[in-house]
Amino acid sequence: MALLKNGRLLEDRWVDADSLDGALRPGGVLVPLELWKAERLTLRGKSAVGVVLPNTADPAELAGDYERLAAVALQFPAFADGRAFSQARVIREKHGFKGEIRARGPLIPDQYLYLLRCGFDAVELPEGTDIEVWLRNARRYTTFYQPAADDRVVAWRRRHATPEAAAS
Amino acid sequence: MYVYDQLDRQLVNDRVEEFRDQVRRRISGELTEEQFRPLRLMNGLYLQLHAYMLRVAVPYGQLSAVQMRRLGRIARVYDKGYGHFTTRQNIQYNWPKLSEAPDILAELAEVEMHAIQTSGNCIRNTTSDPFAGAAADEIDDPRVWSEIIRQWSTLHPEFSFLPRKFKIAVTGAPNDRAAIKVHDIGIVIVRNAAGEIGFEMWAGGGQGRTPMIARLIRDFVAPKDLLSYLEAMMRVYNRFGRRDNKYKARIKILVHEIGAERYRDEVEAEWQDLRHGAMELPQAEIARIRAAFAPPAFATLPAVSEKHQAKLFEDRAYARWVKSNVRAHKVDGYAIAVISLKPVGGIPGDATAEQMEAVADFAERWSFSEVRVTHEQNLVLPHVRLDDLYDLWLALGAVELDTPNVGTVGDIIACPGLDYCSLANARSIPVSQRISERFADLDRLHDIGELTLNISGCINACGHHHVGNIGILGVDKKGEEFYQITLGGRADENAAIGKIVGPAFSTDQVTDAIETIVETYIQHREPGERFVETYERLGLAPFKEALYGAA
Repeated sequence: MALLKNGRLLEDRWVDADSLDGALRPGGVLVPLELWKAERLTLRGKSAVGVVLPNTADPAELAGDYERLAAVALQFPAFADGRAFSQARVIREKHGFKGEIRARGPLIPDQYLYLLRCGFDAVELPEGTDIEVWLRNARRYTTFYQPAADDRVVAWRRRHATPEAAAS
Repeated sequence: MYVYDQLDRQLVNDRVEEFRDQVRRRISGELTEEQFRPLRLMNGLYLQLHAYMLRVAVPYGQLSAVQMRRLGRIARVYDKGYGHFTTRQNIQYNWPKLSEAPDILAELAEVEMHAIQTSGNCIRNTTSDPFAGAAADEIDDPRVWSEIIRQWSTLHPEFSFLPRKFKIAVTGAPNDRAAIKVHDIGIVIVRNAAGEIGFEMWAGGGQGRTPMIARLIRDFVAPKDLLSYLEAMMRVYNRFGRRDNKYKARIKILVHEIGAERYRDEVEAEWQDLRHGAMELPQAEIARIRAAFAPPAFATLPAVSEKHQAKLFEDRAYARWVKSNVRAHKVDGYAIAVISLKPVGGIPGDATAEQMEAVADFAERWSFSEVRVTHEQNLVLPHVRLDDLYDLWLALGAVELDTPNVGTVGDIIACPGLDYCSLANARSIPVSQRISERFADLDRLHDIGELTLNISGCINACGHHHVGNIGILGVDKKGEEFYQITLGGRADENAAIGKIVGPAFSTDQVTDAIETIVETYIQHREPGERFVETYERLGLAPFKEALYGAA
């Protein structure tokens, strides 16, 4: 599957593993939350491990783990099920996670900007989607009315910026 | 009034271009209807029974004369010459062409308007008191906070795919004219013991098939914390709101199922993480938005207008209109004029292009260019000099906008019903037309006095039947339309859900049934007692007996 990351289309080198044997293979693996919880101590030493978090899970379940994880995958069972938008913001803003947060599920390009704003930096692209439409949607707007997990400058800061801040 | 700056303008222009691109992709076949549906809904474009319907946002019900004139132009050029003002203070056009929808949005953007988030499972148009800035009982102007909420909620990246639609209402006065207790979140501006302004936060109110009155979640939130607290309330809903059944997906079900206490605990915990961060509203931004709502340049006038007093005495029709349609203003010498969009036998909330343009002219001439839309589907000129009121009334009469029935049983709230809506089970408009015809006699109408009558054509309750003093719900029984009647609903600060009076009535019976209910009230009322007060004193029993005979 293709991965849209940092505005570029990449081949996704990460694989899902749902057993410990599979998880210990070389390279990046994404494991289910339950497997991570059961085998945390064994998996911890591995550099490229990520957790697939169900969208009903509280991000606090990984509270002590974020520093050791390279990625978290959040799920959208349907494009209209927006729970993972909140999860991503909490993982970035409350837990300070710096690794990859990837979105998986039947998303539509019109959601790309929202994903980026909530802290996602990678999207597993649905088959046959036109990447140009995704990229165009990310560039569509320049006014942002609310702070989120990204570094886009919120409208009220631009309105009341000091001269130095406005210039930067 | 709030005036767009470059950032606001940029956003609505970007939105128009985005939608133009989406419509082009749909018309060329690049997008299927299934893929296009969520995109058009985010721009207020519905597919109804006969055609597309476009719902335009009127933030907190406020319009300038220029905007009102443009709404009239859109009705003439792109529709069949009329528009429909809704219970959410918005306007709907019932016959736009898909290919022209982007042009309509461009026309709206030119006058600082849009259709963003008038549909979809996102935060909808924030509604408020139509008398904001004019009412004497106001603690603070709710438009300041409604505009702050409008901006914060616009294209919110986290809350655009909620379990279900989400409605926020704000009142700045203890007399609630915004029905905040039947909204997903209701906000009441209050003053604490130290004299500071803040907000009571209510949640979980709503109508639809499971009507509920909101619960108080926090009794005081400081202005700088408004958005962080809202964000915490929304996040808890986004996380825990049900998504397995769309009829159980509103926040009212969540608050009911887990309890207001647990909902509050979750919100408070979330808020601790949010309250001191980037969400804190800067004082300078509050001040900037407050300045936009500074009072217009009111003249210093005597409290009593000799001309107005003389006309009240001379002209009985004028006096009658003043009695039902005019409200006290906070400034001496001014009045609030409500324009009824409920002519006898008409369609509640409809206005023609000519009427919209006339109201725009009147606003420029007599009301500092301001117009409001009410959730009762009427219009308001908020700042009219008492000296000008008679001339305004004459001018309204010339365009058939002088119906003197605001707040009476003729001032019916009705959804579009089966005549337009694909969800409806029964027609609403013909029922409202027949009832208004039955009570057309103005002496009788004014003798009956204050009484709200609301009609919904299906259980989704867009006509707010649950909170009408008399509520009528259209139901389908084996292909035939029937109407269930509830009594005792209220949408004010003492909000209540009406109780079903008994078995439903057929189309032929429903008008008689309403008349029987009104006559029962007349028989039993104490001097000065309004319908809802008589009902609260006596309960359903006398009405039941009059309608269905002794048990």
